[in-house]
Amino acid sequence: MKATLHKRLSGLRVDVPTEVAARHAAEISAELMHPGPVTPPRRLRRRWVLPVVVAAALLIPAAAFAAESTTPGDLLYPVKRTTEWVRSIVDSTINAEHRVDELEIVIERRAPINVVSDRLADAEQSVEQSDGPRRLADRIDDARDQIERHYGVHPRDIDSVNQDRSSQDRNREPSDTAANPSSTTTEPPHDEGPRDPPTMTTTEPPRERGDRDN
Amino acid sequence: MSRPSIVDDDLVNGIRARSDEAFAALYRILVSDLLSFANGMLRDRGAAEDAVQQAFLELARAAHTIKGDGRSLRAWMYRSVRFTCLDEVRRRKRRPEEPTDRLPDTGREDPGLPDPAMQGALARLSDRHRAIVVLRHVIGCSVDEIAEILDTNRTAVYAASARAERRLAKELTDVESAFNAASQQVKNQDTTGGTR
Repeated sequence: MKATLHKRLSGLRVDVPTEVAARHAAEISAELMHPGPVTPPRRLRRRWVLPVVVAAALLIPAAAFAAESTTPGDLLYPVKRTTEWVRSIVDSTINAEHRVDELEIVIERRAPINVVSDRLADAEQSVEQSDGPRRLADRIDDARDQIERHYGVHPRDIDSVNQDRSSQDRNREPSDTAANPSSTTTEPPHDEGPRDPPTMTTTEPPRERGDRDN
Repeated sequence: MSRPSIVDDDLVNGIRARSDEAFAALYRILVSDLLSFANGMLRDRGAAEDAVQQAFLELARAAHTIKGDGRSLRAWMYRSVRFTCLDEVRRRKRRPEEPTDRLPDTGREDPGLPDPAMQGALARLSDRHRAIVVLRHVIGCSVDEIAEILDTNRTAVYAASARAERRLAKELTDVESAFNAASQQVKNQDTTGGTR
């Protein structure tokens, strides 16, 4: 059977007609006289396409997923803002929702009070601008309670605490910082156990500042 | 049973130098094989001639980038023809309404092609299997040459060749049965028409 196949397949050979050969020769001569741009071999041109498409298909959703819980300053935060911009086309409250998420994350991480203050301001502004649903406003209220509970600062006093911290930092000598670093930190206590009640060694309420000023 | 390379180093150097004589010599050496290969892949004489011409034009443009010996140059030319044929097959699949689309019509007899039953059976193979069968049995390439043209290894070519031949035999039986049934039907109609 194989021999039969081979014999029949051998009969499929074709020869080029003279006029076709002449046409080809003319085309080739013209190309040699005036060569067109060199194109890379098709296989080489396409070799990189599939890996790049597969890598993009895997990495882009992975990066977008990993960026979901980032906060400003994180490496993937620009990715989050980009995906947020795309999603905002169909969901107008996504910006406000993410800002509130970020506020809750920084509170949970016990970030410095100035960071919390910035996130709180952003969240309030976003919810206000997007005319967000009531649940977002409720979450901000909860966050305010958390700030008061964990940082010992009433949210309305955060700005004044920050200003006080800034002026203290400016006036403080570098040697003081080295001698007593614990007195300069603006971070909340990193208590390993129960977080309540908060220690007041790192953040001072405005009234204490007023006493000291007097 | 390795097929000796008749594209020698002098010819390759002439191609690199874009010599008219070298291109003419290479054309004489390869045109019949390349045309048979393209025709086996496409079952369209005109498109096959265009594919061969395209391969030589690409060689004329990229002559100075050619590396290796005559065997590599042969493989380069076959690859170029094969890619052009695959592009043509894809183009036909995208636009099946075009009248030049004859590849899927595997059972149709074409008096312009030799052994239409075999052509029909070949057309039912995958592109890769069809390329292997044509290179091995129509052109007479060695397994090493086919491996170089398809950018694979000898073992893969042996395995694919065996599968392709089994499939071809089966498809050939089916196509010939269809041909016989169709010709019998035509005879019956002629007989019926003659008796009236």
